[in-house]
Amino acid sequence: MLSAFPSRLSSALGALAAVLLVASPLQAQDQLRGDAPDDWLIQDATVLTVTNGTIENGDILVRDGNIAEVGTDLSAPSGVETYDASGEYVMPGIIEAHQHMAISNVNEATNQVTAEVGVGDVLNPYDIGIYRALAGGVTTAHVMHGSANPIGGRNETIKLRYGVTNPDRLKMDDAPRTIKFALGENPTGLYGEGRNQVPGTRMGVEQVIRTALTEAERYMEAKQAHQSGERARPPAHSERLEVLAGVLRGDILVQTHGYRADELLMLMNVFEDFGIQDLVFHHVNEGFKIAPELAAFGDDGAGATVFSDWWSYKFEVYYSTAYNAAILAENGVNASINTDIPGEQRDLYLQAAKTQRYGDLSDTQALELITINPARQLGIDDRVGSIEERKAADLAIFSEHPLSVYTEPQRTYVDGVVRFDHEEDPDDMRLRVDPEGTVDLARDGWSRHAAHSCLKGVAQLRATRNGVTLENADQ
Amino acid sequence: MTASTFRRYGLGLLGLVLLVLPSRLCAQDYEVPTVTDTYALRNARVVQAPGQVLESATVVVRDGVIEAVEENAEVPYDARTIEADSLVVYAGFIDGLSHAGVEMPDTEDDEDVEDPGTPPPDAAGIQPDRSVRPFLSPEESDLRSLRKAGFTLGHVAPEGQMLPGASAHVFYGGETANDMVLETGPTLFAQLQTADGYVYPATDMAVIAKMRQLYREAERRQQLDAAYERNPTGRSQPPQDPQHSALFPVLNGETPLAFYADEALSLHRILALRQELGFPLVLAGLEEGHELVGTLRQADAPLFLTLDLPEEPTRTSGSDTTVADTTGTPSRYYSPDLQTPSHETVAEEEENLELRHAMERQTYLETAATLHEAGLEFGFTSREADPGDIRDNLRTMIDQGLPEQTALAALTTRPAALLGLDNRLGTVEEGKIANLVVTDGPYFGEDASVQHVFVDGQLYDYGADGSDEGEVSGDVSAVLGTWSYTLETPQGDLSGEVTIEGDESGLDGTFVGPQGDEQSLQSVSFDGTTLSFTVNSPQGGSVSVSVTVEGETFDGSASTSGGSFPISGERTSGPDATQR
Amino acid sequence: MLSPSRPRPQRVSAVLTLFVALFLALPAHAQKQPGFQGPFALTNAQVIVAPGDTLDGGTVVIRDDSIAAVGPNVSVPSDAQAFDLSGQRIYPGFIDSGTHLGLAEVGSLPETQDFNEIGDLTAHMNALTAVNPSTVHVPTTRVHGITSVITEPENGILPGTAALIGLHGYTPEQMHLGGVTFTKLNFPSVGRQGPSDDRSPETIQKESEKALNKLNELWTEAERYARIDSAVAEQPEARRQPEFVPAMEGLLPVIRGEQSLMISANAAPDISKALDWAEERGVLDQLILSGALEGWRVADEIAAADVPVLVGSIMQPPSRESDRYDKAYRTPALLHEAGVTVALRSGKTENVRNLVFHAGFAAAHGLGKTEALRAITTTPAEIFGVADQVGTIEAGKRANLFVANGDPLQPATDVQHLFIDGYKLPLENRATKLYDEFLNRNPGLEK
Repeated sequence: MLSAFPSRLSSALGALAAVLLVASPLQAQDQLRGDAPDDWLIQDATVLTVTNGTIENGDILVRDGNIAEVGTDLSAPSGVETYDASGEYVMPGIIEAHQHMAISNVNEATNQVTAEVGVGDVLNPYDIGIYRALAGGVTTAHVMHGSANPIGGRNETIKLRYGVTNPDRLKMDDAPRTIKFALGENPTGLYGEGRNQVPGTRMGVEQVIRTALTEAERYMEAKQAHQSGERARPPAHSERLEVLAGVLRGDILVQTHGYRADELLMLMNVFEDFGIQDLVFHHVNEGFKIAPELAAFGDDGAGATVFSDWWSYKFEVYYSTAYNAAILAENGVNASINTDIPGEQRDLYLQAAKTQRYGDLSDTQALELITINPARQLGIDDRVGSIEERKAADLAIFSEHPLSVYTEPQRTYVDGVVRFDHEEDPDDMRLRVDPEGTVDLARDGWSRHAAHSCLKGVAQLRATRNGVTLENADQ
Repeated sequence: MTASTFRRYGLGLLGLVLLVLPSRLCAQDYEVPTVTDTYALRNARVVQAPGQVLESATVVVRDGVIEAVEENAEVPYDARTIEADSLVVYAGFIDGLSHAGVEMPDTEDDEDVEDPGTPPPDAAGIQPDRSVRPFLSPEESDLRSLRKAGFTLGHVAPEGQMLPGASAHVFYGGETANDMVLETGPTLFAQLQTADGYVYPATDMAVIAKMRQLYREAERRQQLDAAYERNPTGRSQPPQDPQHSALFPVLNGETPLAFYADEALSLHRILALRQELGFPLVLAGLEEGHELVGTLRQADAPLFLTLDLPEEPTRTSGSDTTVADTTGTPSRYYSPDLQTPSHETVAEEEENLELRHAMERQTYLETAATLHEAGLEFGFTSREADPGDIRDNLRTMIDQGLPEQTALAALTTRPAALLGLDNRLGTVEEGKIANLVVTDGPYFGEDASVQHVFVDGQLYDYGADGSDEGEVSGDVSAVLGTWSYTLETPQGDLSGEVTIEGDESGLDGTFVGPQGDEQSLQSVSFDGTTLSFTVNSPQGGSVSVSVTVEGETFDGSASTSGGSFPISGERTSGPDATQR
Repeated sequence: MLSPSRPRPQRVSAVLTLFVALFLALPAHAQKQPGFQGPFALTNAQVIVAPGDTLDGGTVVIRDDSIAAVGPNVSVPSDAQAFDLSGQRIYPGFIDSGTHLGLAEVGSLPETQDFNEIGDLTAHMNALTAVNPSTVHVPTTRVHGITSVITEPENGILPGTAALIGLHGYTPEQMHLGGVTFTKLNFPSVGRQGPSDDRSPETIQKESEKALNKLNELWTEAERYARIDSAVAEQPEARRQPEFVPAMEGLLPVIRGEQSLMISANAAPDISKALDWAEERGVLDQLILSGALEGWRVADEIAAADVPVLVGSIMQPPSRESDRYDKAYRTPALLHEAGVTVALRSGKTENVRNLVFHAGFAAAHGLGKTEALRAITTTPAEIFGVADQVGTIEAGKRANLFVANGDPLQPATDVQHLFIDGYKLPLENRATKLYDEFLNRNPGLEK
């Protein structure tokens, strides 16, 4: 494998120093694939382009990390490595629209409105979860603030460049900014039930959001008035209202945690009042009930990113159906499937495949749910989400069709760089270990990652050995 | 007792017998007044600055200032002369960031914040208007132990959360808090530290957002202030509060934010924030600085590296973990490519992973060398270090490739320059403040010890006879508490109790003889396994005890000039007994 | 794509259903009742008699609650309702070896959860008591061909007994399959309980030793209790009953060797210790291991002890950050290779239905399709001592089986018919009903 660790300790340390001192800053910050090639010819695969059908015995030429050509019988220019993918399947790198891996904080659960905070400020490139996602063919993830507050913090769209240690290098350049909103039981439970504060009801959630957006409107007006000379002083600076002003201007896409049909309708009404066009609902377990309304929202409809089959973990998801994604898709809603929980993101291809049992979606429809559709929801479909020329070479190679339960991911390319290799990668892929530590004592598998769950700090109160409430803490 | 036994044990027994007799004298505990503040260190080897050595010179100190550093400087009439033929004089060490000498008032934990989402500034940890000055106390024990390690002045910050207040340059000595202050307000201390309790900011991301908010609003207020000052008539007063006003010097580039952070992620976050807001920066901690050398190079900020190093993990004997040979010549090396396809290779995997931890530890030990080789000029910070470990840790850094002169520069000239104090501190030169470290050999040598420390012209003596401070390192909870001991003498066993008190910065205690008489312990040292101390007999003479502590028992010997006897003991009460 | 007989679009299959319904002319009452018994004859199907034993073009006759006949040349009884299943496959009903099915309704509402009794010593609790036959989760589970599950209590050292239940019945007793009941023991763990568990290794060591000592003390007491109880039973007139201790009472069947003991343990050292403990206590031959996520590390020890393992859930990250990403998926295979008897458990409540995908992943990650099928059919049947009743499609066994239009572990496959104890059960559930109502909602956007 391409490792920064040569086999002997002494030379390893020398090499480390050499990397740090001699190599370019970029290489210095990539512990695993600093000098890995991003020019490839992937040959003789079944290429599932998602947007342009399936190519049997297809080839993909990758240059400088981008897809240069897709076709058959392509030949490798000199200096381009080849990968023989005969018998294997290539699909676009999987995109997860809702994750909480690779961040140090999830919820700033102290205030009903925390638009000013952002998980992009606390990315954690050391998280082994990034590698494990790659091992499931995932190449892009929308890592999100939690669902404690009606208006939470900003999210970040990251490319899974596992190996880099500078957090900034995880960020996907030019991805639109997004923000988390949250409706229903999480905010009402935390603030109302937990702290005797508004919102204790879904009525309260609406008004918290309306109030914050109105304040942002006033803030923008005051700033404009100051700029035009009508007002002597600028208003007190507010990082929070600056972000919400971005939401009102349409610069920041709203990604809203919500389940029940009524609360989804509520937010669409609020957004219509404020002229906000971009809206993606997350989880949306009752989205199927109002699929026509979702499809009719704004210019392009409201998106929906859903679980394949999770339900019954709390009351607001009791009346759910695993056919949700299919109903949404068949009704023209741009739908995607996510797993939300760090550790669960490795089998998104299976989650997508379930829509063939629950609603008979076609192969392409099912694959869209984890590729081009989430890309559209995140505003990055011009760069990723399908195998097309000039898009980033984010590719996932599988031993069998990715919608088969028997498939195994073989390789995952991010920007043309192999960042997961089933054959070559060693078991221990941690970027670093505790210098004062010893071999990890085993952890009880059930409650792992509890600390990363969406309602961190809140959910832990409900932790049981069984972990049922924990693993569903975010939803 | 035969004659030969007497020869072997006689003197020793005499000491022991004397020791265990009840004392009829009271301890004489008063301070001898000093009569002069003028000192002359005669014929010392003077390391004026790294690489700049006078082999034999006399250093004259008067009224807190170095008056002369010359080969045959005249010894003033009123000087207390220290014959320093065998001694080495260094500039007093400068601590790049610490909380030494700081005693923060107890905060009331139970005080409920009415609205945790919008807490008052102090509950949020936003106190840049505060200065460390009122919290200084010369009685703080960490001053004593850092001074003994050679530190004479530090960049001292108040404790707190995200913006705890303004720092000061503080002498690690003095009679009063006023004596301690060289100057106040060189920096505002900052950390990515959340508020206490469930209060905004409760996450790092909110701390960062709050920093932005404070900074941008301070900018606005400063502009409003300026406009108001130009023409106040007819305008309402601009909004003001002490927190935002305290940031104005930061906005103006006059006062840096001094951040402490050890983790690579925190360092990245601080540097990103600085890039965005553009404040002047001092960065201390850097334990994981090896992870982002390039970024640090671009940051161009004064750096202070922690003097703390990771320790080898302790393993319990009953642990199921395989212990790999991680010594300098391990039987095998870490294999980065290992796959563990089945249970048959589990043992190999465990050993390999142990080696990986050892390798990671090695990286940390080399951090100083790595930063140095990258051309970064850094000082040191004692904040997270156990003062008793500092010299050992410096030796380790040197063993791992940090040049000795660089280590010395990082203790003296560099911090002086980085903190803007090089006109007064950092070298042994005429006219500089008399902060000196005097050792009986090269400071980084194994055998040398600090003999005298001058702080602002004040002498602190650690000479052989006055050496009542032992070296302490490791987890002191292993020795704290009361131990019953049994001393085996040819005349039969003697038993009594020893009580050990204190913390990482120093230990002391009492020795209760078989007849109930108490003596205080001298020179209590502990290194994690070996405990040693001296007991002075009121009748003259002393007994040195050195034992190895293993769990709740110890074993070793008690010696006098005449011989030694086995001593063993068992802990009867300790921190464990009270905590568990 | 996956199988040649991939499902047709919904509208087509709806028409087909109607067609089938018309031609079969079901009795009127069947439209209203959720299930009815045959006799039924399933003809022209590929019959998976048992994993690795396939019969092409076979017929299965179901009468009352049992399989009356299976074979290539079995004639269709005249009174039987016949199904021509050309191109379809018949599988024995799947068994999930560890769930909370029936014991919980809504995850976040404690008042709907009945698997955690208060206290450590609740060996006298019986999961079967609290099984809700009408839980919305049962019909959702059945549609994937899962016909029976172990449902188990959770908290404490000795949380009580688990039970094997069939997924059709109106009382817990009707659901109870083969009377299978066994005691569960959560073995004291040396593992960390999660990322917030920052106890030092020493503390963990001490605490787990203490817990083990306590367990030994308890077990000695339970053995004493059983001895006194037996002694009293011999001469009830002359001897005095021991003081009634409900938890000890609950342990009697295990102590007397009449009941299996299921030990839940995941960390490798816990498993080793549990095996040693069971041997010391003389319960090794009653032992079933559950969980065993790190079982692969001590696979040879488990194999040597000849203890069967209920592995899972395998659909989770490996237990250590240094582990290979797919270690949990691969655990069943690694155990099997070492000679360990392996069944699969999903560990779920509302999503027990995913057992089939767990099996698929286990198959893909080294176990192979046939062994994966065994792990959810014949192997659990053998472990729980009901191999004479379920696990295969053989005459005389309970008619627990289903018909699928392909490989039932594949997501794209649909289950077409399902029988439990001879009852043909509708494949409706909340999920399908909401689908039927909302796929083409009426009114749509405009009323």
